[in-house]
Amino acid sequence: MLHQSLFYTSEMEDFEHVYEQNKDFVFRVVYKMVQNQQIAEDLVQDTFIRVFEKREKFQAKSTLKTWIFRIATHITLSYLAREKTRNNARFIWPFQHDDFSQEIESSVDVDQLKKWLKEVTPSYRICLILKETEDLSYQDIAQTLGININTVRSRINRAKKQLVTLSRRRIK
Amino acid sequence: MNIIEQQYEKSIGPVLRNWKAAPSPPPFVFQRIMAHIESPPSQQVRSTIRWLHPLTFGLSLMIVGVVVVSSFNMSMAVDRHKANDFMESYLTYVNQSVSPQNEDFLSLELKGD
Repeated sequence: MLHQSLFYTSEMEDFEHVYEQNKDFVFRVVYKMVQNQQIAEDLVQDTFIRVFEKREKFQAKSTLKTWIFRIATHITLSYLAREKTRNNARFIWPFQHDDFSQEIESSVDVDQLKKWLKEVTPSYRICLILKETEDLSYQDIAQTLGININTVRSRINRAKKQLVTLSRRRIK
Repeated sequence: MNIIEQQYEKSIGPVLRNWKAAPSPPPFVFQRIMAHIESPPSQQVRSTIRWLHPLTFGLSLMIVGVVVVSSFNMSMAVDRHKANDFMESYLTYVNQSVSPQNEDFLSLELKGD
């Protein structure tokens, strides 16, 4: 019993250390994905509870940070998918009708950009956020999300295309 | 660089890269996580429910079976009791009816002749 409680205490200390090391990165990205402080806090909470529950399943094939972030991504994308179903949101991208040779407005403010980002497909959005705001390489993003590097490239391009389309719509 | 990339880099890219979001979750998030992890009752309840479920189902089935069988037996016993009472009163009635002291019986016998 004594051994168990000592082990438990040490495990808790380890977990606190893991939380301290990774909380900022997870919170920043999750917040940028959902753009709501309270929801981001809840998703970070769910992520670290899952990390603790699944701690025995972690294999050293990837880094701990990558593994934690993969859990965070899964939880966040599941949340966004549930929200989409709940709101019955349906957005069709009319790329074939868009003329990209037309100029877009040069001054964009953060609030406007946040609104547009919310409309970008979540699986593309996460790649763009990791690349542009967290400065991760294509290789790191691929490893973090558990996808192919070419998929990362194409998702980032699609996210950019969607953002440009949205910015052009405002000008029309 | 293609045209989309150019347009993206002209306005959206720099703004996105400079977007500073809330850097850290508030301390109560960790407190909530620890409260969730360190709450053995919920874990116990969860594991108890997991094991209790088939047991409860089995026990419920057994109780329902016992109730059905015993109520059937009781109703049969009541019926048997009623039948006994009826037979007893009928036999008493018949005995009284066929008694030679009974005038009605004698009159019936005469009429039959």
